Amino acid sequence: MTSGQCVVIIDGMPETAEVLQAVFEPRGHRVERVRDFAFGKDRPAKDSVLVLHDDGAADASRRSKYGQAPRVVIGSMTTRDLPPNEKHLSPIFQYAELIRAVEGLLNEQSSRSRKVA
Amino acid sequence: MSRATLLVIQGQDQGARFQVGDDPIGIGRGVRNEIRLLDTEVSRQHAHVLRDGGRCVLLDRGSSNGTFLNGRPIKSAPLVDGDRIQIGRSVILFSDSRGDESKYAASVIDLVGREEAGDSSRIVGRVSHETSSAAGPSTLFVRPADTSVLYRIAEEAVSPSSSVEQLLVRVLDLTIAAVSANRGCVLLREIESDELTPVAARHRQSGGSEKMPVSRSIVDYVLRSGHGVRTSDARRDARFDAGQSILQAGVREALCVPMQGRYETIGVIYVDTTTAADAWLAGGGKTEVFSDEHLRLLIAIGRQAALAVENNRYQQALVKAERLAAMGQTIALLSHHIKNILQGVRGGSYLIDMGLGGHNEEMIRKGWNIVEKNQGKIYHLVMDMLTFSKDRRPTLEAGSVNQTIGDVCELMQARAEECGVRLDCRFDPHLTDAVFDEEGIHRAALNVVINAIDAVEGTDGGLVSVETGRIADGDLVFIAVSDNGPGIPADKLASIFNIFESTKGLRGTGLGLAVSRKILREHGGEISVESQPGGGSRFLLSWPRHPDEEHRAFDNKTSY
Repeated sequence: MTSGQCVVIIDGMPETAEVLQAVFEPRGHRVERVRDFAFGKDRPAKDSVLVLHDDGAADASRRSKYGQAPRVVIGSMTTRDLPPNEKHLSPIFQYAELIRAVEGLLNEQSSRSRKVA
Repeated sequence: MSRATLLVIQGQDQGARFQVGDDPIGIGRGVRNEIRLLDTEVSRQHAHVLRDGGRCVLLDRGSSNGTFLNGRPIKSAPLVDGDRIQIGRSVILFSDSRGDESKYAASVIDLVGREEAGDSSRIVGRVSHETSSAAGPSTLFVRPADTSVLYRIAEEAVSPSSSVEQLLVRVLDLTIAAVSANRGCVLLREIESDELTPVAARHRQSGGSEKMPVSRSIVDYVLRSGHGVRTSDARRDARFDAGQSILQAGVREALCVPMQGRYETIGVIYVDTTTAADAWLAGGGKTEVFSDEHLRLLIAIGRQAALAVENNRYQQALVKAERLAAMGQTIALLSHHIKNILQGVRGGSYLIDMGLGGHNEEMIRKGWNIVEKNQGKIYHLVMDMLTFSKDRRPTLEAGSVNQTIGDVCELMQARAEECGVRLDCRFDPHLTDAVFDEEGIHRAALNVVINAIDAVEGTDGGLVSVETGRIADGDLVFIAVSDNGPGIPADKLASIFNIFESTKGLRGTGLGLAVSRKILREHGGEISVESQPGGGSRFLLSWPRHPDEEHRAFDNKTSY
């Protein structure tokens, strides 16, 4: 995990963003919260780790909007056949789990970037 | 003491129910009425329902468009169970039960078994239900009086009733009068056990409480055969030996008919005359009250009553199903929202724990802020639930709307800044005092401002504008809350003020706007919205500057 990476929380509870900001910003990462309808207008998804609150509205078109960006999905969706860039948390999650999941994806992203370089 | 209620069955407040207690119930457009009808055809102080001794009375209070009872204009009239009060475009059903009709019926009906001395009734006339139907009404009910009775019973059968018992009591009253019986009762088969249960009993003389012997063998015969029967010619009956119980009860004639439903016989209607033995003997025992025409009429009544009972049961089943569904929806939505609050508290606790572990005061402070914010969410949730569920009357006092809305904006300023939203407050400096419930309007406006901030949170240049002012036409005060958020889809606009409707996904309880609308309506006002997808939304809260006539008189206006 290198500093300067970005975590984007899309919709959902503001507390999720507040906790992630308190944890990751001191480590040099950016943590932003955006609305789904505003997502992608001025920031590409590929450079970010996304945190999605899926309240049942994550249909195929919405998923395609996020491209291949690694993501943590918080919701009651099935956990079978998850793509490798996706981690899943149940709606009542422990924040330690969320932080571990985000850290994991940031690390993977960082490793990939180094390989490409 | 009877339990009298008023249920709004037509109009804007459809479904609202009010119990008639010792205090009069005011009905009208004015804000101080217990039953407030927001209808331009209703006067501010339109009518009263009050107790006068043991009965309830409806009084017109000099209304412009009149008060109608069962379709007829009245100035003052006693109310009886099932009466329909029409005021403006609203219809209110009056119900007055003595508590439990079934208990009363069970206490007066005496099902006399075959093994008992009293059960020696003799059938002297019978008419099949099917024969009666096949013959058709033109041959059966040639008497206009019969047609009139059937018409009235049919009307009762489709009238709103709060229970099957009340419906059957009204049908019995009409039946007893139509066939000149002294008393009557209805026995229904229990759906599960098939046992006969008394559900309604009436005496022609009100307040009658003497026992009503009903022959079980006759009832069984009627249920089994589907025939209506007439028992008469008592002299041939052994039961009229002196000292026999039925002679003592004075029964001379009885009619018993099946209540033939769509699929099965659901019970019987039984009526009788109770001529005293000495009077009957003095008449030579030849006086007959009931005829076969009465029997045919009663069979038709039994059929209509059965269909009405079936319809009522169907309605009750629907209501029960809908009530359960609504309860399930309420529990699911509240659980969802409480879960979100719990998740927020967990987030705050997590940071506090981390801060304590690392001696990081800044982290602890952030965690505590989250916990406090979620305490506020619980408070608002509880207040919204209380406001929505309670029948409350607003505490109307003259005051400054600008001051109240200023408080709302001040309260929301920190939240707006936290969310990166600019909160722009523009109050009309010339707005004079208005009459309103300060706490209510504060809550109504707060809910709308919170929604607006939520709508633009996370967008670039999020802006929420709050304005106050006066609409000259109608002398209304208004609060307008606008945002430049994503707007509301057209198909959601019509339902956003309904309870548990939310466009906020995870963050919405679906209570806020419903509560705001309730509060505005309590003020005689309204809340409306204009919105375009992608073009933001504008909510307008408006109410009469003087919703209360007493304050209005102060303002030198003509009261309605």
